Amino acid sequence: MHTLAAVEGFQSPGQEQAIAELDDIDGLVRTYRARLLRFVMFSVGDEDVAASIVQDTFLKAWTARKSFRGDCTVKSWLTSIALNLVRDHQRIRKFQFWKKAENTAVDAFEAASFLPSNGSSPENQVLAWERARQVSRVLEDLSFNQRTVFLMRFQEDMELSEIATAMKMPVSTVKTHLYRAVGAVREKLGGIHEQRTSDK
Amino acid sequence: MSNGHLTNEQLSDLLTCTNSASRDHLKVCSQCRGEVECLSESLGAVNHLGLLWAEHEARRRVPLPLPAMERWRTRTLWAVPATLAVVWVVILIVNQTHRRSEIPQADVTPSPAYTVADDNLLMANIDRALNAEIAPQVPVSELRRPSESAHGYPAPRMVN
Repeated sequence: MHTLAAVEGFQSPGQEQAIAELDDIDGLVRTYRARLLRFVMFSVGDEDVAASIVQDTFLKAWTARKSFRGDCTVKSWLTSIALNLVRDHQRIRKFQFWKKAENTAVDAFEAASFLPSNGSSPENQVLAWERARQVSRVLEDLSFNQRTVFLMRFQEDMELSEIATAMKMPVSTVKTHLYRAVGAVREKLGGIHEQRTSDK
Repeated sequence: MSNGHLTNEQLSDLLTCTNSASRDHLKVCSQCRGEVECLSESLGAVNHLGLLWAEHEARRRVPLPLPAMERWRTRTLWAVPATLAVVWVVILIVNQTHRRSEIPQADVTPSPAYTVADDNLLMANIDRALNAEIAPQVPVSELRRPSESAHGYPAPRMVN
């Protein structure tokens, strides 16, 4: 059975809008660069590599924009491309075991803690920074698949089906990775929970 | 629910606001409520601070226009003339080969009979004219008498 979208030349209004969005490379970069950089930074833990991967992601998306079928959002599509590049980097990293990352996501938060945050008190900022630091440390200890699924779900707000497509694995496997990651984060953050309850 | 508390699956669904059934449990279980709040706040902090950092860094590290894009454009600028040159050379070679194969072969058709007879007659006439021009040669027997000179007198003897 053929859907309308499968008929040659037919493009839904949403798809046309997405293709127009992909054509404007500068607008695309301006809109998504921060979110992509955050995702890649948490995945590879190296600022320089993350920036390079984000640039390559946009370049790849722009050159392959005609192949965008419109069955997911532009953000999810970009995230999938970035994920593939991260995977390639991980594969190369296996052969460069002597190399250590220049900077980690946790170090990035050290820098971010000095950034102005509107409307929150210094105490709240310190508390937020401490929580973020703890979660990012837990994420560093997760396996690649668990971390990626966790980030895609809770950071990029992607649906399980979208994550499954991006990671090329069944939804049931995605769920398994996700729940194991949540379990690990839950276990490691038990300290915060106990601290909070004892404060009360 | 395990041991009367939320499982990882239920907690995960609550964090993404997809499960309303587990919300009833939060009303009666302060431990799970505290855990969900804590996780939710922690994730919110990670996302917020991560985005703050990324927005700050992206302006510096992923500038506009993209350096990768510029590199690609430069490569493309080189690639287009190079490709055109290669295509031009290929066309030239193909054209040359095609031309060579199109050169007509020489016709080796036999001459008509009258042409051959005329040619033979012409050659015979040339032979005759040449023979008439050349003087009669000295017979070989005359050349074999060394004691006589050409004018008939005996040749002088050499005395030591």
